[in-house]
Amino acid sequence: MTVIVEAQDLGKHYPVGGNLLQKGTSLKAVDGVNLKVHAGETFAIVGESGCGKSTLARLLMRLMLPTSGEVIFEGRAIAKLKGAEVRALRKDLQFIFQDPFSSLNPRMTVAQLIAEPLEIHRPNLTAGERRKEVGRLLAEVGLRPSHMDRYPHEFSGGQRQRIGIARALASDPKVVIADEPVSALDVSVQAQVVNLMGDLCDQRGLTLIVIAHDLAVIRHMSDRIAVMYLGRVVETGPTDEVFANPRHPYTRALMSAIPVAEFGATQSRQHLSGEPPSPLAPPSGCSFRTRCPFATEICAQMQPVNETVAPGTEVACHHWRDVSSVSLTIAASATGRSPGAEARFAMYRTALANQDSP
Amino acid sequence: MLSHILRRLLVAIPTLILISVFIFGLQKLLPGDPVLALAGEDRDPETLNRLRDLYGLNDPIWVQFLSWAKGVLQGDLGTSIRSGIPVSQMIATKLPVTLQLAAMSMVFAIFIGIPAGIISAVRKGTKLDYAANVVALSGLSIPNFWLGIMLILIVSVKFHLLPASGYVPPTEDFWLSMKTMIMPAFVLGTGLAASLMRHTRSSMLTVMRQDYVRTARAKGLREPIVILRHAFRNALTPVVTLIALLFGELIAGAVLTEQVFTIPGFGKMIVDAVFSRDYAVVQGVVLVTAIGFIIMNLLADLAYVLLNPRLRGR
Repeated sequence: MTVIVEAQDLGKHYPVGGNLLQKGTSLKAVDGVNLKVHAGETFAIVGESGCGKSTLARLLMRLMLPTSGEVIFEGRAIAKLKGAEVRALRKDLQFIFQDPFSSLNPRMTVAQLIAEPLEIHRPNLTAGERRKEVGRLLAEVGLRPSHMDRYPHEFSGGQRQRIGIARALASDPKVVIADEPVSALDVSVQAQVVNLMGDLCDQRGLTLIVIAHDLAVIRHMSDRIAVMYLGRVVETGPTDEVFANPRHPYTRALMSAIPVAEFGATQSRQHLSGEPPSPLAPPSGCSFRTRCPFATEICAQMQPVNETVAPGTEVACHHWRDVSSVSLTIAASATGRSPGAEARFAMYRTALANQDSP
Repeated sequence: MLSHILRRLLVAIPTLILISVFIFGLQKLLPGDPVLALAGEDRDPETLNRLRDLYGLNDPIWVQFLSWAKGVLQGDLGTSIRSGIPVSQMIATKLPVTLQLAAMSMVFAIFIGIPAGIISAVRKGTKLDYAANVVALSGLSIPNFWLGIMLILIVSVKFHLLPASGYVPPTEDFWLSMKTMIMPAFVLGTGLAASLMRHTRSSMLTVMRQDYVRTARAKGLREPIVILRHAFRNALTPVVTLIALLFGELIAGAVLTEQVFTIPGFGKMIVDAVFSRDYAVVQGVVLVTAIGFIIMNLLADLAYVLLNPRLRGR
């Protein structure tokens, strides 16, 4: 697997406060992030709000320049690119935005919006060919090509997000970064858009980087996952592995917060107390220690480094061995159901089986 | 669309009636009347009364108003008591002068104010932004008459580059007309440019923060295209309103500048008419100015629809 996008010790610090006489502090929105995204995979970045996911996405896309570290795209550091090279980068690296309402210019028709990247990146198309291509792209994302002369306000949220996807695909990119692509949509529409993105990735062999806070969406879509907390990546690994064996205490807390859709199911929750600390004054050592049930003295003194704990899985925690040894059972069935309910479920199962068999 | 325009024009009718009544009433509150102004030193009460009877000034105020309104509905704005010239004819000679001045000032204001606003928004917080703001504030705070006098002193008196004052209709000698009008238009335009610049700047700053501007950048568009095609078109709406309002104001509000450059325009005519209590002239001028304002506002509304597809088809 070739690495297509890589973040090396990436950081974005904002100066905060301060005046002529006094130096202000800095807000570490993203701090020392290392990531490797392989060509063709769907890579998810997950974390609660304010953890720096969106900043990270913008850094990867070069919509922002990092204050430290580097983003490498196909072997080139993108911060050093200039003018025309940046525009060439936009062809290969595209972005799907969170809010389908505000991210489309209200003064332009859908055809104009989607044709614009074509004008820049495929200048040899004639106007007629461009319109044809716009129609093809609209059909590809499941919209009617005949609607291309309408304005964005004439579409629903899901349709607009499809327009945003068509726009992102217009330049035929290699990597698409989607920042919370479905969080602004109705739940019923979310699934459609998620599936659409999955299909498009398979058909086009795209590399997709998804930023999300919705674990169900992440689990459904992604091959690998990175968990962020307060600007740092605390755990990376194959999605199934991370979901099945979360090793970082924060990841554990996240996973145990996923509701289980089964009657009477109980599960041992790992509750987190308090709010995430202010990124203006992060705790010393491990930034998660203030909310971590496993925290000891070493956590306050040393920042944990990334350790490879299993093939492809990295965790930044001093105590990951202790964390893994405590079982986190998701007791999904039986327990908690009344005997009567259990009997009814059994009858229901037999009825279903009988229905299928003849 | 057409019904929208018609509805707007219908709404304009009560507005015009209200303005006419109001101005008519205000004039009657002023001490003195046109007859006194006409009679001068020799005030024989008998003569004054006869003259008042002649012009209907002894009638009750509502009779006076109705007889004026009747004339207006028949297309007759009345006659100036002072000069004996029909008001419509006076307006017809003065209005083009003021319109030319207003249009030329607007051209100055737009070509200075809007680019300056865009540049200072795009280069927000830089020296260029501060410089533009200082210039704009100076433009707003320097009185037009002072700037006019200074320009006359420097450009005309010292360097003999342009004529100092007067008016030449463009139909007579186009270039000379432009030359005489360019200084007053510049003086008027700078003040307007300053407020246009401030409005363009704040509107651009709002729009530049929008997500679709970020989308445009992510597409890989060149920055000038992002700014002009995506940001500026969306930022235009409040600017267009302001242009319409300023233009309406220019029709009546160029008094000082017209005075400094001795341009025989609308503003000067209003002032003269008020001083001589020339009721018919004041009424006529106010009516025409109000109509001008209403038309400009209607045009601004139509421009919105052109600029904003979300308003179409309503």
